[in-house]
Amino acid sequence: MVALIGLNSVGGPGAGFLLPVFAAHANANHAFIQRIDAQNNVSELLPVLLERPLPEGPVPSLEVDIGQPGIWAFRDETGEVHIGDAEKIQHLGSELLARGGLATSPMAAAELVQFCSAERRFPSVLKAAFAGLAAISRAGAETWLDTMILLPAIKADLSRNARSSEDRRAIREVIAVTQRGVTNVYGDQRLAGALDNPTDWSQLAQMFDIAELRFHPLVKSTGQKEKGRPQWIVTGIGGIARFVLKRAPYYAALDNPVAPRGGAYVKGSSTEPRSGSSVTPPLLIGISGSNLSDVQVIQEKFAQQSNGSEFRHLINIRPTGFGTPKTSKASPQLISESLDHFDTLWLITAHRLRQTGTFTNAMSASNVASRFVRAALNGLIWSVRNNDPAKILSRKSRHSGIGLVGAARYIAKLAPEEMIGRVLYSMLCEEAPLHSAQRIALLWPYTLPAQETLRTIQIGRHQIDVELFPSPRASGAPDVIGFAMNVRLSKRTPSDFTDFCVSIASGYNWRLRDDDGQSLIFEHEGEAIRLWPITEREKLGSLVRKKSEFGSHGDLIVTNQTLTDSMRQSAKRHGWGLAHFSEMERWMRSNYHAELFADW
Amino acid sequence: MPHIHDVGKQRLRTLVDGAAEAGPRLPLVHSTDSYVLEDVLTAKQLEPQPCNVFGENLTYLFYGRPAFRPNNDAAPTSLSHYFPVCLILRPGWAIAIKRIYPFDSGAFIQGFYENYLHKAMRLADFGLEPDSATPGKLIGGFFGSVPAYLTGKPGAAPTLDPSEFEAFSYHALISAQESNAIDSRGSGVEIQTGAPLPIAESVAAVVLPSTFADGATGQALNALGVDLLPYRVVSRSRPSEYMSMITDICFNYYIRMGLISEADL
Repeated sequence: MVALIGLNSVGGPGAGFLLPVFAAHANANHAFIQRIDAQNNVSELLPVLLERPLPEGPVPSLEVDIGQPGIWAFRDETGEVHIGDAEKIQHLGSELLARGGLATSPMAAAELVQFCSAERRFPSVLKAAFAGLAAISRAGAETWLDTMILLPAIKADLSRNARSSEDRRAIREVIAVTQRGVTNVYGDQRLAGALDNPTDWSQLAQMFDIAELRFHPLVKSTGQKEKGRPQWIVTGIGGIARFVLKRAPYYAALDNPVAPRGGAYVKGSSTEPRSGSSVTPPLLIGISGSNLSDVQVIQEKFAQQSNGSEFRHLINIRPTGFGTPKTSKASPQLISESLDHFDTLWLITAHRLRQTGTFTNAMSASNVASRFVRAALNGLIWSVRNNDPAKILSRKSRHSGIGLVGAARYIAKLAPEEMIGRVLYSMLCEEAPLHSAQRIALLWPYTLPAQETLRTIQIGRHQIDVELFPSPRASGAPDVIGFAMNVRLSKRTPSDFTDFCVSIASGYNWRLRDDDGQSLIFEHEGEAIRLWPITEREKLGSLVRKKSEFGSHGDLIVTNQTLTDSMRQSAKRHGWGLAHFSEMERWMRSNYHAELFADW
Repeated sequence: MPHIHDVGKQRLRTLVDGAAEAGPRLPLVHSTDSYVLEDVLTAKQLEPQPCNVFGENLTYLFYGRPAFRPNNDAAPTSLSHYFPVCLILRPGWAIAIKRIYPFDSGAFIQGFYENYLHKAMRLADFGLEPDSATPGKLIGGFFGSVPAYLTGKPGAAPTLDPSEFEAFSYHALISAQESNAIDSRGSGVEIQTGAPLPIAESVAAVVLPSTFADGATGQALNALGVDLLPYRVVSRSRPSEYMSMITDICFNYYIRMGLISEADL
């Protein structure tokens, strides 16, 4: 945590962005400046030497830390300095631009337009900046237009068609030069065709009367072939695996002959691992649903890819269908027993808390599952590339371990405890209790002080210890990814289910007040509900025929059994709330407007 | 008495001198900071500054690439480095060259390259012929083309006699992927001069933070006939965008001014 001590002017006293400078305390020898990532969070605090005193002037009392929203400062033409996070400065900036408040500082205005991503809203600002610069330097204005305005748009257009890491590398090296109304783009020949529909460029080009874009393919001058084995290989079967692997950051070609039928295959770079990580064996990852035949195909693919030294991990997407899974879907135990020489079977289960029984929401369950599959892949691959600091990949024994994966989008404004709670909530699983894990490691997208890497979080009835491992990523949205290792499988007893229900309710901030052995009483913000966890079909049928005491808003039966229409009608007649555990979200939303805190 | 950094093995110098020069010739670039720029504009010339390493007044330039080295004595983490200013000299400006090194000599002295070098190697072993054709010859020998040099992409390792230790080390250095450790200075050809540079006559353009363009600095550069090439200040807080941004500006300017043609790419 560092505090704002001053603002450094970049170029004279005029309007424009200022550089916030921080220090640990008032008389500190070292100052710090922020490195801010694409999500506008501080990814690093860089120590700097102050060769000269900072300009005098009051600064507000503001503190910042890694992972929190970065602080920006902008001085307008009246000399007033606006300080705040990106959202605040963008809001202020839009207002300032809308009232023409930077008319005599065209370059500062143009920079603010780009900071606010408001190029289309304020085309006149960009044109004024170009004209102002052209008045003192024609070549400078044209270079500015190419490199600061058009080139980012061209790269964005190209990125939409990027299919591989080689494509993205090639995009970084593209050159654009506009002359006589034509933007000439020079780039690797692999990008030919990727600019057939340059929408971002077109919108900006129109403002400057640029009519045409021509791509000039360049033959790659150096071809340094990569050597050695890929650091990781992913083989997936099923729609979710294909959906995940064909998109960023994997961009698998679905027609790859190495891929299993109906599946996808992608491999990592075969360049050497980072310094110090050469001891980490390659990683084979499989993705499948719960059909044993699919798991068998993954095993066969691994046999073809293996020389016996690799880590082998299988990501198993638990059934996405509504309610009780079909009998054709294998349990985690069956899958685990069928695996030969696997290190860990990772269960993806978050989508099973989010089903509501309609076709649209079944699609939504697949969509939710795909996010967690991607998060699991990102976490496993990050681990193999960084020498597995969280010991997620390590071999356990002859038998494969079973683990749970969860994730949540990092939100800088949330307290770490809440972020961790969100991740843990997404790991709740009826088939394998989270609290039974031997260890839970969370990959945290920002660096952390050593004393903050161990946390204990309450989920339902359980105090859960988690270890946080900084895992900064160079690109992409920052996620917190959780791995619960060596969980035990649930015996599926009524008390296991009750425990599971208590944990689910905690996701909506309902706190357990009483457990009489049959029902649970929860309270939240002055309201109370009684929840009846039922796992036996006969008991369920009997209960819905009795009259409820508190009505359908106060008495909720929660079950893991498939619900029939007659059960629902009977429950309604007798004043019960009735929900499969996966319907809790809908029930909470409609009855208490309670949002799932783990929404992602 | 010759300086210790001037007396070294001649292997690399001889090898480079015998290579074919890759064209076109690029302008020289001098990196400084915002504060110095104001002084330079007031004095209307860039004066050589005292250098502790060589014990004389020197101005450091790089061949074509905006390698950031505002001054030799300042720590690389000083705040003034954060918003660099790059002066692009006029192509063909005849400069009195004192020394040429294939990389930033200051980074060598600070040990940034030690992973790529034998511990017995000295800076003087990498000194090249102080001639205006030398950078192009080095590029011809190790990069293959001027665009490859500008984008920091060396060609395949040249066929060398096993005794060419310095050449092997240099190729390893410029092929390194650890950009954070050595940034662009590892493969930017350094040229030293002891002569002052009159701005109006010698400087073609200045790459500078966009905020300068609105103010008096822009007008002063315009009066001197110097092009302004502004970069986005906010990008400086996002270094992944920033490092390539100034290179993009220089590349674009070189093409726009006809220093590099489409055929050269």
